[in-house]
Amino acid sequence: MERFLKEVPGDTGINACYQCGTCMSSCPTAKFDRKYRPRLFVIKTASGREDEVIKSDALWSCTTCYTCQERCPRGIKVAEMIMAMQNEAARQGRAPEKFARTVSVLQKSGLTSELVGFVRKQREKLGLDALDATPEVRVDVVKKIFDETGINRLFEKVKGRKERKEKKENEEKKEEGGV
Amino acid sequence: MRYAFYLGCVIPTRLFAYEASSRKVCRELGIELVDMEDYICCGTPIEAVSHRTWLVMAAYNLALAEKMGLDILTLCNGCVNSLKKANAGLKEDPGLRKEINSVLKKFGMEYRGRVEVKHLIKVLYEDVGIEEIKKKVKRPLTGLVAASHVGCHVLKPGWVMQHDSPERPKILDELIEATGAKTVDYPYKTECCGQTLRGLNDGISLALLQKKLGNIEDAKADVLVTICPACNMQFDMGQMEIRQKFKKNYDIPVMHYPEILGLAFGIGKEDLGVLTHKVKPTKLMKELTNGL
Repeated sequence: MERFLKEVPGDTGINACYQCGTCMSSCPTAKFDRKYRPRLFVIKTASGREDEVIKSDALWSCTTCYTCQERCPRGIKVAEMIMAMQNEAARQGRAPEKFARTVSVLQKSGLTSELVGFVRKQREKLGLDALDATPEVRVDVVKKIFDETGINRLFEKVKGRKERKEKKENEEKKEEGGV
Repeated sequence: MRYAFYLGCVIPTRLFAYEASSRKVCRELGIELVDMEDYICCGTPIEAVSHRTWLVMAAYNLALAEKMGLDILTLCNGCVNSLKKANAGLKEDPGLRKEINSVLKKFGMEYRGRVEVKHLIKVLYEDVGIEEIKKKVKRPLTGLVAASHVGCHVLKPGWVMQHDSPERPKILDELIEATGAKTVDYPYKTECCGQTLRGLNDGISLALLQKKLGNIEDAKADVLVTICPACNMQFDMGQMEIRQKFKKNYDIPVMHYPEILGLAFGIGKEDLGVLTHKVKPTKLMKELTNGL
C-alpha cells in the first residue's frame, strides 16, 4: 500500500475509509458492471490485498470521472488511488492494448491524431491556418520524453506477457491434439 | 485579455467547428489568442499507465507558455484537467519540480510555476462577463431549448479545477442563456458521457451514452451543448453507432458552445462550421433562420 500513497499527490488517507459505499453508489461504471466495486478496491488496498485489484480486469473500467473522490465523506482520493494502481498494473505488463496504440501514435505526430491531408483541406475550408509547420519538433520532444521516462518499456512487458500466454495456449492445444 | 492558445490534439485535427467558432467568437469579444507553437499532447491519454510521463508532458507545455509569458487558454476538458493538475502538483512539491525540471532541461526548458490555465468557458464567464456577452448578441436565439453537458474533467477534482460547482454547475447554462436560448435540466446531467471507456469497455461506454441521450430526448431539448471535444465526439458520432447497432435514432444535434454563441453574434453558419457535425442541425438551422 505504501507505494500507492507515495504516488498520489497529498495523502490519500486510505485507512480513514469506513466503507459507506458512497463511492460505489456514485460510480457510473458500477451502475452497469457488478464486478466494478470501488468500495472494495479501497478496502482491499487498505488491508494489503492490493494485488487482487491490480490483477483484475475491472481496474480498467474507471471512467476517470472523479465522482467517487469528490463525494467521499472521508476525503479519500479514490480516483487517484485507482489511477496509481493502474500505473502499477502497467509496470507489471498489464496495460490494455489501447495505451500501446496511443503511445505509438504519439511518437509519430506528437499528438494523439495526425495532421494528414484531409485535415489540411478541412482547415482551409473554415479559414483556419495550417498548423503542421514543424511537426518534427513535436515528434522529437515526445520521443525524448518517452525515452527519459521509460514508457515504452511498459509495452515490451505487455508484448512479453502476450507471447508467453500464446505460447502456453499453443502448447496446451498441442497436448490436447496429442490425446 | 491575451492568452497562450493551447489547442490540444483532437480539436485542430478533427473538430474544426470548435476551433473555427472559438477563434471567431474570441475575436468579437477582444480575447487575443496567441497560438502555442510546437506544443505537444497534454499527456492525459497516457496518464493511467505512466504518471511520470504524463507529468513531464504537461510540464513541458506549461513551461512553453511560461516562455511566452502568457496564461494558457484551452478548449478541452482533458487538457485543462491535465495542465491544472500538473500545475498544482508541481507548485506544492519542490522535490517533484526539481525532478521534472531535470528532464525539461534537456530541451532547454524550465517549469517555474508562473502561469495559470483556464478553459475558454471560464474566460468568457470571468474575464468577459455575461453582461458584455449579452451586449454583443445581434440575433438572440429566442425559442431555442438547449440541454448542456459540462463534462467531468473541467469540474473535477474540484480542489484543483476550481471551475464551478462539481455537483450543480451553472456557468455553462448561464452562458447559454446569455444567447437568448432557454436551458433544460435532465436526470443525470452531471454524469459521465462514457467516452473515456472507448477501447477499454465499449459496452459500458455505450450504456452510459444511451442513458444520457434518453434523458436529453425526454427533456425535449433542440440541441445538446458541450465544451469538451471528447464528450462532443461521444455524443455526435455515438448517435451514428447507436443507430446502426440498436436501430434507435435520437437525432439530437450536438454543438460546441462557441458555435451557439457565434450564431447569436450573427456570424454565418458556414464560418462557424455548424454543418460539420455528424448529426446535422438542419431543423435547428431552419428554425433559427425563420427567426424562431
